[in-house]
Amino acid sequence: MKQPVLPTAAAARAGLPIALCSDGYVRLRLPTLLALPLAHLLSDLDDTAEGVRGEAAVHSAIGGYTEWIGAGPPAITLGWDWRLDGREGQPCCVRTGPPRSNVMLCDRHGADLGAGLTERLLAALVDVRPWQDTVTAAIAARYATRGA
Amino acid sequence: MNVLSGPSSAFPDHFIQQVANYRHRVFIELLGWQMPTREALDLELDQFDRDDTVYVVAHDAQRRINGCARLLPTTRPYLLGEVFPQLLNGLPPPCTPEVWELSRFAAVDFNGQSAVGRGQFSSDITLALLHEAVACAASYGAKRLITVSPVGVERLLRKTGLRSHRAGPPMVIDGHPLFACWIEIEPGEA
Repeated sequence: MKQPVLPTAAAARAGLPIALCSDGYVRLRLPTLLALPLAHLLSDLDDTAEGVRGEAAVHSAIGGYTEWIGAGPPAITLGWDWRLDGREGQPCCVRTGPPRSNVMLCDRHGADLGAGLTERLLAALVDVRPWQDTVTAAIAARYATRGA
Repeated sequence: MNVLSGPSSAFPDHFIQQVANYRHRVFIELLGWQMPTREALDLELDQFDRDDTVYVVAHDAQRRINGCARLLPTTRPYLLGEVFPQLLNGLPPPCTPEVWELSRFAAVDFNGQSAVGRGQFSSDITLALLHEAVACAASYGAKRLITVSPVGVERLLRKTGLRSHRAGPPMVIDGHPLFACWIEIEPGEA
């Protein structure tokens, strides 16, 4: 079901081929998405994270989720899970699992690339953008405030 | 797991009260959601619990409820359209017999017969109940579901094999990040 109800007036004025469709998807091409600034919305730790269980020990994992937004209208939403990884000697956040979004990428003719390919391209986009410091700062601020 | 489903009017009043009491235990007592309740009776019911509301309820062999879901047609007032339209990214709330709303989904076994974690989706009946809810909605003609949920629900949806995507960005409402989500119903789900 692809029934474009936009581009919005603002998008049309700016010449941006971004369309919010009645199925909830925001349709756009990859170059447009790459040029779109993403702003941090919120991040938090999982409250259901389970340890990775071994034969004789439990390894506690620290992880959470983060949400980012591309200013609209229509607004792009991107969220993904992460975990703290220290295998390289320095603790850092790494993405776990594919991003969740309202994005459907299209080819130059306006045809959907499909959910699977869109998901893989969004994952690649996340992995080349510097989000880790923002997330760790947000988590630190959130829990420092709670502990005060 | 046994599942009963149908409109409110098809069940005796005491059964709906058991569902409302189960919802109170899950959403008010366990999750701490701030919702209007009939506290004296420990019942969680709202204006969308009507005679035409469709319930999907899971219970164990002793007929103790361990999961529930609520289905509403978007052609009548429903939670997203009435309370959370801002979650739709600027689109008008759907109003068609082909779109139903899924709400008050929970699968918590208070009787300890299946794994229980800290959330609302912690037991091994969760996926089965979700598929039952989708099939029930399909039997009423639904081709898509729309739902307002905590963001953690997306992980659950990933596990089900159902096709879903966000309807818009999450918003923090009463301290909880909530978002609206579309769930596609495949032709074979009914």
